[in-house]
Amino acid sequence: MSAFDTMPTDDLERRLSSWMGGQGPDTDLTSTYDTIIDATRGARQRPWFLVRRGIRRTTPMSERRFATERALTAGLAVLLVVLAIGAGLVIGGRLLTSPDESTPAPSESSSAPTSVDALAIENGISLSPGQLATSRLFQPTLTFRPSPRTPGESAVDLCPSVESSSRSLVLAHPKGCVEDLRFIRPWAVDCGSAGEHPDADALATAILAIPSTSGSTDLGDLQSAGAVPPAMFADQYHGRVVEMLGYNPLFQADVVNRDDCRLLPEPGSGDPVIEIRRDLSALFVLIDVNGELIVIRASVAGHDAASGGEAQSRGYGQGGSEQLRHLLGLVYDVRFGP
Amino acid sequence: MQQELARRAREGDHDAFSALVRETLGRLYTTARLILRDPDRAEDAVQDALIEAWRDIRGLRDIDRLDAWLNRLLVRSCYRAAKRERRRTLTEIPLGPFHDGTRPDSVLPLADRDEIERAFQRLTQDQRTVLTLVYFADLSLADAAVALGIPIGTTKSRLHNALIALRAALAATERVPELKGGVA
Repeated sequence: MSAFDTMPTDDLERRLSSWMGGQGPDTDLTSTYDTIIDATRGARQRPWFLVRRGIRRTTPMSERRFATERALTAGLAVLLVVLAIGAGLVIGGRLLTSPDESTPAPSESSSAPTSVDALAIENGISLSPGQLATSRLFQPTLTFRPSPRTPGESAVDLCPSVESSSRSLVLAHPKGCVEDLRFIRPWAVDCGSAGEHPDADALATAILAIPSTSGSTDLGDLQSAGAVPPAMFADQYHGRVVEMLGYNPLFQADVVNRDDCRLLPEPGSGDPVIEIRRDLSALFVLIDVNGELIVIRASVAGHDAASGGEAQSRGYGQGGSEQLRHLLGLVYDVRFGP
Repeated sequence: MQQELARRAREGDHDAFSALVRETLGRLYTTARLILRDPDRAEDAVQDALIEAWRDIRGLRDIDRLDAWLNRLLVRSCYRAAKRERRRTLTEIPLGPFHDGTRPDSVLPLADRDEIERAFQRLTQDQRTVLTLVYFADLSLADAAVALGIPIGTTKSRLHNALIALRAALAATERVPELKGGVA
């Protein structure tokens, strides 16, 4: 029998407390601090009545005052419902005016929402799951709704900072804000036989022609089972889906345009060149919208920096198919306007 | 002091929130690292928790429960981080040494400390979490229950079971050298 088998609990607790008392930060947390402060500066705080529900759930149910609070909240909710019904009866259809920008759009609206109803993500406002969002800059106009981080959760899986231009919209994943879901309207394409201004089918063919160590996969068109998440698009579009799985050990940061396949930005726009290459994992949803090609890329970070070294310093992941699909599902109800 | 900062942050004072983050970041990070056993994921978890804290601090009615509330956000964030990691990769979680000498040595002898550390790493996340909240974050059982989002009775039994598991893990840790010694 060891000494620990017979150790009194008090002694065990004393040893545990003593060991834990010696623990402390083992790393410089300056960048973490900066990230938190940057992400919260200018971000909107949720009003107390939207937050309280979450707090109450976390509290032991045995405490009487929370039962009282529940009763009060339920009473308030009933009162609000009664008032809403009354107001509806009095005012009738006149309530269907343009909602205020700060009001979350209804997620189950039968009519197509427009970008006027949506929050511009460049405003730095924290989004909630299901909230209708748009970009002030990206063209054509698009709307989408962020997915909850996990089902039922009130947080979304998007970094607060957003990069956007008329041809590029980057929605970064909070895992270091390196992986992203990106909407791209290429100024031109330089990829094998695709031509400068290919449609979705032509670019898919060119991407699939890139020799790949693990194999690119043609997942079919947007209507093919499992090609994209079922609720991804709010409208019907023609498009193709191609998955390309790369492997970290093969990533050659110093090789530019490795597979001669690039989405080119408008000169002078500051948007990055997007390389499509076999050593970086990405999932491409290629869509024809109003006669133009739109590329939605879910990627664990591409070679979209000024140099290979810079791309490598930004980090790149070893995301498999499952992670790429998770990134593709960061938003849903995507709809392009005119 | 922290309560005053929290009160001002609740009224939208971002400078007060920044000061609050500066004061709590190290402790919350260490809590997350003890729970997750991984420095990178701990940084992500504490980052998520504090961003959520800014967004939701208006819902914190009782400022005196600040610690329990922050730990609640952190614990939830740690569980989400662990879940994401399971989904993301099947690679092993690194079990690096916790103690790097950045804090003064505890009064335990080195060998004893290593045994406790190894045994602690063998526990489940639920067990590590409750022990960390009570013995590192120094929360009362009631506040630990709030942080865990479970009733106080469940917290008590989870703590009891965690201590039993820790004792068993310590015994196993001690037997390994005994066995090695026997073979040699």
